[in-house]
Amino acid sequence: MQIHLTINNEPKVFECQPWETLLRVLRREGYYSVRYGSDTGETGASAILLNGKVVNSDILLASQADSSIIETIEGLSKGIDLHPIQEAFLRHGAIQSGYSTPATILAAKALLQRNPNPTEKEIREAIAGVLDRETGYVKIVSAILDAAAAMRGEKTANLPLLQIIQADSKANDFVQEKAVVNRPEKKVDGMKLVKGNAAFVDDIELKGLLHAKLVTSPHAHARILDIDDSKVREYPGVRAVIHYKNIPRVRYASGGQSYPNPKPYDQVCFDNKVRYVGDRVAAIAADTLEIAQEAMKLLVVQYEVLPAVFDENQACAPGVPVIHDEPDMADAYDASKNISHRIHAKSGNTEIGFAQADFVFEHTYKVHQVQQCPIEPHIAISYWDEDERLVIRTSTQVPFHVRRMVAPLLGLPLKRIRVIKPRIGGGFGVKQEMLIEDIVGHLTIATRKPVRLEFNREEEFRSSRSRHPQTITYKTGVSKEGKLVSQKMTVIGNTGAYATHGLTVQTVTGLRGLSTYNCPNKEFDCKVVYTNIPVPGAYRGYGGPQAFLALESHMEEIAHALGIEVAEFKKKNCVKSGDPLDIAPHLGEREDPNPFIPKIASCALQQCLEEGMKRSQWHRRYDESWRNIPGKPYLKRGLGMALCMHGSAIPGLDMGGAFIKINDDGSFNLLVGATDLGTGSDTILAQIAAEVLGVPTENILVYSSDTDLTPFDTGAYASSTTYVSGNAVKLAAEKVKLQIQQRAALLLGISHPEEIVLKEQKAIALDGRFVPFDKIALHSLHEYDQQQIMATASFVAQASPPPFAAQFAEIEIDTQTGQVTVKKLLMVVDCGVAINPVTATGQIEGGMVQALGYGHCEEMVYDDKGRMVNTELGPYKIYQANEMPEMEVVLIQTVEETGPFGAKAAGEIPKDGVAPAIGSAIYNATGVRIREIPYTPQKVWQALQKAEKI
Amino acid sequence: MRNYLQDYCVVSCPSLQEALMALQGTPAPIPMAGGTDLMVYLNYRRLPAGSYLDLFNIPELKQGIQIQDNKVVFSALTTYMDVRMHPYFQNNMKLLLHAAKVVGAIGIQTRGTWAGNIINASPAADGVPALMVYDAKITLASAYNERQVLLSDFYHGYKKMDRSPQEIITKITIPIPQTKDHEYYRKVGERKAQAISKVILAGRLSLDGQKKIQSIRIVYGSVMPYTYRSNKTEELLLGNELNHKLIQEAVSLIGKELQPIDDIRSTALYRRKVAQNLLEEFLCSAL
Ligand SMILES: Cc1cc2nc3c(=O)[nH]c(=O)nc-3n(C[C@H](O)[C@H](O)[C@H](O)COP(=O)(O)OP(=O)(O)OC[C@H]3O[C@@H](n4cnc5c(N)ncnc54)[C@H](O)[C@@H]3O)c2cc1C
Ligand code: FES
Repeated sequence: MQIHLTINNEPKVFECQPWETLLRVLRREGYYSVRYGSDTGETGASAILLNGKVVNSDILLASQADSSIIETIEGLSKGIDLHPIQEAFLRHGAIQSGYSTPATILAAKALLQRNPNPTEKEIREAIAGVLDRETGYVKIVSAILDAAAAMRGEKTANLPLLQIIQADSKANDFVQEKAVVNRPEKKVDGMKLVKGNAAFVDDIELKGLLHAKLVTSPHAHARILDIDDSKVREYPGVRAVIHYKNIPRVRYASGGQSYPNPKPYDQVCFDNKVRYVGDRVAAIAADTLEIAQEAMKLLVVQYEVLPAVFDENQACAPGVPVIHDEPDMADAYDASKNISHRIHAKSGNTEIGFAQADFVFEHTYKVHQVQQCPIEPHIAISYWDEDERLVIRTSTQVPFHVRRMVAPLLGLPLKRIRVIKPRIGGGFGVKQEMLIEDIVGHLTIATRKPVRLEFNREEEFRSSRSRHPQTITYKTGVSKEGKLVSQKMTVIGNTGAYATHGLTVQTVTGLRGLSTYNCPNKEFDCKVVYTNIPVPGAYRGYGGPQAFLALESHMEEIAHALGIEVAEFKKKNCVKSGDPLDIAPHLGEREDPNPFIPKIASCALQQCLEEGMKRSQWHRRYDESWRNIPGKPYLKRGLGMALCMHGSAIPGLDMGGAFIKINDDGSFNLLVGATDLGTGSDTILAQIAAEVLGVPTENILVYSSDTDLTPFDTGAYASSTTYVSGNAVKLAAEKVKLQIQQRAALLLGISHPEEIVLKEQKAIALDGRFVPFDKIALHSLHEYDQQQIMATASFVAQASPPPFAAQFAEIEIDTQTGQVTVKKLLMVVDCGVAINPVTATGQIEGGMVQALGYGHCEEMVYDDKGRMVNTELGPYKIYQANEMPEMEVVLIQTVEETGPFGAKAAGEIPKDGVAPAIGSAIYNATGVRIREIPYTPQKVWQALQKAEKI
Repeated sequence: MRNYLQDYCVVSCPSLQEALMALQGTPAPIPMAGGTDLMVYLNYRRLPAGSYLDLFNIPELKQGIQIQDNKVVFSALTTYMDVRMHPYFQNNMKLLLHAAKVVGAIGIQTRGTWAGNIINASPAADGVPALMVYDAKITLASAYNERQVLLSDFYHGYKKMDRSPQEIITKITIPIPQTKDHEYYRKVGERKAQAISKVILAGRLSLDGQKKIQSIRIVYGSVMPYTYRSNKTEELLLGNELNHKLIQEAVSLIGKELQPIDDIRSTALYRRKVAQNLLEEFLCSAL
């Protein structure tokens, strides 16, 4: 059928099927700013304006929109002249990945049209339908307020609120003299994102593109006795079907990690056994998505259903089914008992320690499974290029690992594969995995055609990755004075059907769980087990959030038992500059027989705690009259706190490379392997280069992550990008600086090039004479002794300087319903020098919201057959803009000597403290300790009931 | 080339009469208003193949909201946003405004209709309790008949209701309350970012000079398999003096009257307790 639309003031006539959604039609016609996030209207990424009103185009039939007026962001601005809302989004750093930015901007536009002077609350209501997984909405709201003022013709504030405190005079002097570092520079990739330009994996058109669908297991555990694909092959439009019968059996581990990937290699592309609901069975490529979907139903799979196990505490019990019983399974700790790894580490001797302690406490905590939920699900497109090389365009955090890992699976030499990472709509770890690239690769090889595979939201939930559930037991010995004497952490980690990140996540749990407090005797004892739940993998925080929930709750329980004020108790025991990181060397990814014990350098943990106590009015915690609400005896208030500590990169392993060259006009290209997932790393890296080279940030043109064009990088994980890739960029920029100084010395006739200063795009001699960079570029490229000014450098982390933080949470709880309402989150963070305080605080705000979901409302829920029941982003609840607590972030800046311009990491630490801080606040409000998250109404209510009965 | 959705077709009708005639076909096409429920099922292919009747372009159903002397009339395509934008509800019948605001988010409120909320018949629907608490009646029309049903008599089981496939809702009529009422609406779970285990209570009551209960409505969402008006407990309360003793009796009776749903995410026990607590809160707040 035909529909007539007016889109961005242009009349259009489109051909469409009666059942097609408007989203699909718009994207087909090249309106790439309208994005896929779900099929249920729940992410709002597909929002457009229909006759001036916000509607979700994923749940609107194109035919129902016939004769309507439609606006998309493509119509908002021409060229680089931006609409005031777009301007404000850029200025305020209201964009991270930018995937849902066009939808948010449109919602704001519709609001400002009917209400030019909205309150914050009205703004939050208006954008509530567009879920954001990254910004915490703080900067989005401030940007819209600012844009509204600008559109009313008022003078505007121009910048988001930043609260920065220098830890000491050294930090103060250090940041004073910087030109672009530590400044709120605009995002270098912001323009394309606020305009909604075609920048993501799916935003391209390929002739003859095939669409793939993955057939997955309906059973939690079953053997595949046979697959009959004859009906599928006969179905018109089907081009290929792949499964265990026609794809070679090559064992691998899918976690995107450095060579050699941690063992065991317990996966193959397609197996004759399925181990969770959502596990791979087969993949189909067809001319259209609908054909592929229809053909799926024709695949005949004979299953022998096996008993399954889901709880990590039952995985090793006698009689439990063996999940990896395949004959070629190797290298697991004990596959016959479903144990993939044992991890054991200690410093000192805990047994002696417990004997010496005056008191010994032991508590067990349970943490659950949650999902990363980037708004852009997994998507990959592959094709043969003109050189007969396989190109994979994919939404990944680890393009270089993907290329290395996918090659043996496809039977291609690595050199015949190119992996391109365009913009990514969020990752948070779920894309630190080689998850679907082999599938599109196999299908392109089988058909010689371009193939696209995109997970829908349900598939993303069932078949991608998530956070490891764990059962954590702490046993701690304390002296009468309240000092830790001995601490043992015992963990059972649930790695689901495959081990992928099982070893490393659980290792990090031990590292995080035993590093924040000084204790002469520490021990970590961990079992990582297989079960039949969908596979946990990497999720921002990587084992840390689990550890901190347990550690911080446990420490608080001890403090209460000892009658010591909890903040005092933590202060007494927590680490400071100069203290040894004693458990770290025993918990490396690679065991060193003769470990060097690093010491903490920069650390403002105590300051963070004190500042937070002041700002949160910590004394209210002990004020009955604040905790009780007059006239409402069932409502209580509570204030809670948790300390946090993370790492910056994996020492000895994480490596990043950078390449910089000058252009004729004195601008520079910066090519890095680091992958910006929306984290702002492109911007930070540009700022680092700009600071060294004495140019404005916009003169650094960043291109990131294409295995053909950029240097290697391990990828975006482990909070490593700023620290590792940042150092690489700094080294490369320093080499370029040297070449510029030499060329300038030549031009100025000076014999000491090192005295030349680079500033404001000029090379300036001591006597004030100078050469502008464009002269230097033209001279060196065209005029005399021609040479490309350029340099490469790489950096491998030798240390992992920890960022620190104190997290506070204020709540209200209704004891009649168990409903906890989080009123305020405050986080005071020491992440070294924030290269860009806007992106750093943005990372922290966004991280806190994810952490809030972890502690409060997000959970993957299963029926007794292991089928997830809440595979939509409604039942799986993500905070909307209008449900947010008040958020406050304060940075306390220290100078980390080993970091680029004093920086440490900020990406993961906000994931650590929110859940335990809420737990602490619930305890404060009710006197009841809940040792399990999330704090959902029923769970809280049951805990309160139980406590009452005792 | 075959198309899997070839069996799905969408019929668009220029007038109500033609639409009603189309509904006489066998099988009757399924009406589609804003599509915010239906499209989710369609996208997930949980809808049976067949034909759909697009109501969105039928002028008779697009008459908006009319405020008359003693009643308010929503025509069938009235959306949540229409209520939010209408000045009348800023100060009158505020539970409607409240419900309109808590539905989904703006992108849903601009398309989702009250009538669709009624027929979708989710036990957790937000629009239905607010309508029911004001004694809303729905007008159901077919090609040969038109009738009115009290919303609180409409449901009799999970997604079971008093509607034939040939009928559509053409309007919703809500009498304007003649008394100055005490109103209450609370949703446990959803709004404060917790979708799980929610219970909705919408309530309305008026007292005379002697604190005797002159009128009372108690409507629960998410507790029973359908939106439920608790007649028995209302009966107990009506005409009696509101005091703590009566409240305790009502709380205990409602515990017996409700047969809550029990599912993976919320136990019946929890739902019942919370339902009782909310009733207590509602009644006490009127003291
Ligand atoms: C992201 C999202 C969030 C949501 N959040 C909420 C929420 O918070 N609270 C809530 O209550 N609901 C929510 N919903 C559900 C939905 O928006 C409402 O139920 C809405 O009122 C349905 O109206 P509609 O016009 O879109 O219905 P449609 O999808 O068009 O139809 C729904 C049903 O009603 C029938 N129908 C529609 N109109 C008529 C008529 N005039 N006569 C006869 N039958 C008719 C249809 O055949 C269908 O069975 C949400 C939906 C989405 C997608
Ligand atoms: S920009 Fe908001 S989720 Fe990506």
